[in-house]
Amino acid sequence: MDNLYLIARIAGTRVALRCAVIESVVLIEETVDVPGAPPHVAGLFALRSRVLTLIDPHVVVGLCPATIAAGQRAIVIEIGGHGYALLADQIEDVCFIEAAETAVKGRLGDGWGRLADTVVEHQGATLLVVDPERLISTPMQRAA
Amino acid sequence: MDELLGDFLSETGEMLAEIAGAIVAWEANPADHDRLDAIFRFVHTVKGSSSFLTLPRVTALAHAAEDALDTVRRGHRPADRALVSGVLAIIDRLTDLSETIGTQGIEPVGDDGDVIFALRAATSTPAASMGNAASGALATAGGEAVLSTASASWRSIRVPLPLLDSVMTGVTDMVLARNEFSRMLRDKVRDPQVAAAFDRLSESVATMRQSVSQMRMQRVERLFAPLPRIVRDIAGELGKQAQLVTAGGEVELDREMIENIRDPLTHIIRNAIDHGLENPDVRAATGKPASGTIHITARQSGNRIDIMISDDGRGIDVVRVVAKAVSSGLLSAADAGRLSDKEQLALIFAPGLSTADSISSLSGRGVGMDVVKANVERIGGLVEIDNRPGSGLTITLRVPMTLTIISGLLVSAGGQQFAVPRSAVREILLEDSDAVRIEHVGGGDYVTVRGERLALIRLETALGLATPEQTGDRALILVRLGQDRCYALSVAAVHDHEELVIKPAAPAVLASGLYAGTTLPDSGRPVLLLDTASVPQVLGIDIDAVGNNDAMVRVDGTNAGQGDQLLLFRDASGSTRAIPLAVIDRLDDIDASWLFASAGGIHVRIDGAILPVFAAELPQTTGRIKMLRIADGDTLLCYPVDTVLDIVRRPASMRPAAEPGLILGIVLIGDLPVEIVDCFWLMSQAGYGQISEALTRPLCRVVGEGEGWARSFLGPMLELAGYRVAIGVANAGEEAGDVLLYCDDTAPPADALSPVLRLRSTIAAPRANDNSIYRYDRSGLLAALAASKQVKV
Repeated sequence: MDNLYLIARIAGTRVALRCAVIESVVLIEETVDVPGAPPHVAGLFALRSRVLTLIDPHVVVGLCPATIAAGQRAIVIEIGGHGYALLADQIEDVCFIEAAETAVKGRLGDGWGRLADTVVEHQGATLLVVDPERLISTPMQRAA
Repeated sequence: MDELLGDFLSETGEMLAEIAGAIVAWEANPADHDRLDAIFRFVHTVKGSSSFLTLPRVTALAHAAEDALDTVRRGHRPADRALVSGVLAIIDRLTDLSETIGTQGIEPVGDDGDVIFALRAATSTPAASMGNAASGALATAGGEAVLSTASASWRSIRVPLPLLDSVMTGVTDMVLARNEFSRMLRDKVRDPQVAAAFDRLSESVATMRQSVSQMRMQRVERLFAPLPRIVRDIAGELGKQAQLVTAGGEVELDREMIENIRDPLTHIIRNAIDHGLENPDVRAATGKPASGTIHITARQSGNRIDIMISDDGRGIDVVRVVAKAVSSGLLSAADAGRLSDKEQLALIFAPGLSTADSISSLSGRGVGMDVVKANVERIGGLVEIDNRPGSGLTITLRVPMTLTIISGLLVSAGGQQFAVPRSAVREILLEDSDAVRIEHVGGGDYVTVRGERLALIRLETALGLATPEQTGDRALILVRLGQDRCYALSVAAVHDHEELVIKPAAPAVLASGLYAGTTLPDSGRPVLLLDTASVPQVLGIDIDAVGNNDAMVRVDGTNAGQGDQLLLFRDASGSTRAIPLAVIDRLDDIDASWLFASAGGIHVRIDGAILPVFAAELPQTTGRIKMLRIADGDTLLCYPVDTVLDIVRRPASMRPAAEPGLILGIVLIGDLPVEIVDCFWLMSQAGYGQISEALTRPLCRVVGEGEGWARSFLGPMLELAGYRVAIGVANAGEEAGDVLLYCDDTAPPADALSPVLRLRSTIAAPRANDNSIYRYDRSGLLAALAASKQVKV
């Protein structure tokens, strides 16, 4: 399981997400706004009998909020007993990557530095390795 | 361990908890037969079941207590302290024993002669001979009678908690599946038979859901039951006197919540007795009753339960707390100096801080309020402190009532649905109903419902939503926040009433303080559950500040609750400006003819008083004018406005104005630059003509030949300038005057206590080095008066 990654494009960047906390990838239907919530909370949506909090990674990395439309894909994760959905621009594949992760060299821009410490080589491309949990907690810590 | 023994142990444990409070209450009032009977019933039951299970030590202990209590029941002897202590010692031993049996599975070998003989010694009055066979038989008979009445209330079965929880989860999922099914049926199936069958299913699911949620609810009484005993024991150990008064035991709380606040509550009570209550002699010296009182009150406030623990002890010595925090290295002395009062008090929640100078067996072991706070916050609660140095301390634990299934009301605002807990709703009205009167007063919205005045909160405003065009009437929900506290929530519409499964919301959603959870109603769209108790707090609206008298609501100039809100308005010059809501006394709508120009400024005649108006000239209109009445507590000033626009929160950043003046600075509200009015400057301009309260004005005493002139000519001018005027030399008992004015050649006495000014009737000074003032030199006279006032100060 350790080297299982979900390759996806989030906040305009191709990344490898560690699969440990990922439950599934779903299609977003209708979302409901949360007035007064921090900007990275894009809304709530129902998945069968659960209510998921939709997180917009664009805001987390410091970009403008994405427009949310039905039919977009989201990555469902569970952290601290709460279900979240991360808005994804594109989902590519789930795959084992044999190559070892290496530390990020240089400086990452656009708030990515808070989200990723390592990169991994996959099919000739270098992907940032993102821990999905950081997308949830980062803006909160920034606010505190 | 066999099943029978397990049942015995859990039943005994439960009864022990209930009985502990009864014993202390009975000690306080030995004539209370109900309590005595309850205790008797307990030992009698334990005696009976333990002999059946062959637990000889338990049987012997219970038997001894039963005998002793029986003599009291028969009136052979009164209940005194020695007897109560003896019975308590037996009950403690029983508690220890049942714990040991619970862990080891068998009754340990031991001797209970000590406690049994102690109780016998306490009861050894001649009339109560233990071996009396007749009384023993009677006691049994009596005991059975008592038991038969009691068994009904104890008829229950024991269910392991995890099983209860799994039933709860099962029902929750069933309800959600039903909702999903219902949506599909509505869209796709039109067969009435299917619909009827589905309705039956729905009904039974709803009934079941209700029963399950009741299964989890327990009265707070259960939490309170062991407390009298705890108070009695701690107070006894510390040589203090304390009594416990509880209220609101009928309030119900999810059993999980009860378990979670049990320890924090006990800890707070220990602290109250150990640190809070003074020794009886100290209390007597400070005029307090020798016995301290601890009040514990539970009350439901919306979907939260408040548990208040209040003592009449010495309160928290904040200086000592800060000193302790500095000496134990929690923060530097320099940092400590920068803390606000509230932050200093909050230091008691810092880990590892204890103000106890010596470590007692009870408190001061470093396990303190930090643990209390962490435990309460873990279940989504809050700890609030109200410190009254010298006279006591109140700690409030605010915990959510339940986060499972509640009965909720669906409402809409800004085109979106929200849920309001049904338990928090007192009444629902339409805004245009005859019983409702809505007013916009002093920058706040108020509603009067059948003579009761309530703060009005528009849900769209609270949530920062736009208000779309409204077709029907808006609805008002009167939201209850516990006893007699209420506010009105205005919503676009009230929809239906549903049983809602509440799921905890993610921390990021809860951070706003507006929501208590999320839910999925039958519609299938997620809905946020409003935290009705904290909506006014988030908005900074103090609902208690709304008076019930019919006069306009008066807002104190220092009202902290509205301190960060601004009233946005367009003034006569067409500029959009804002003024802190807290300084606005009221909004008057007056006739333009009430304004008049005189005495160097514009004034308004209003409510039988003359008030200064902040305006350079009389308005050119003849209709009605809106006036903000601004108050600093003493002085009033009217500020004409064209239109009141909105109430907004004060943005954190402001660009200050370059020079002091009417505008303090500029802020951005939305995209709109708004000038903030400098109330300080405004009031400094209002000094003219405003006649403040008599006693604060200096007294000018005019003495000499020109007294008649002084009365008619000088006096009114001085009064307008803010002085009081007295004529003639002060008689005994009269005020000497802050400044003395001597006219013409009347020579002032050399020993005058107050500053003296001399007036002359000729323009030119009669001689050189004469410091008298020409009597029509208005500015010279006022300047000299002002100067002499400063000399005096």
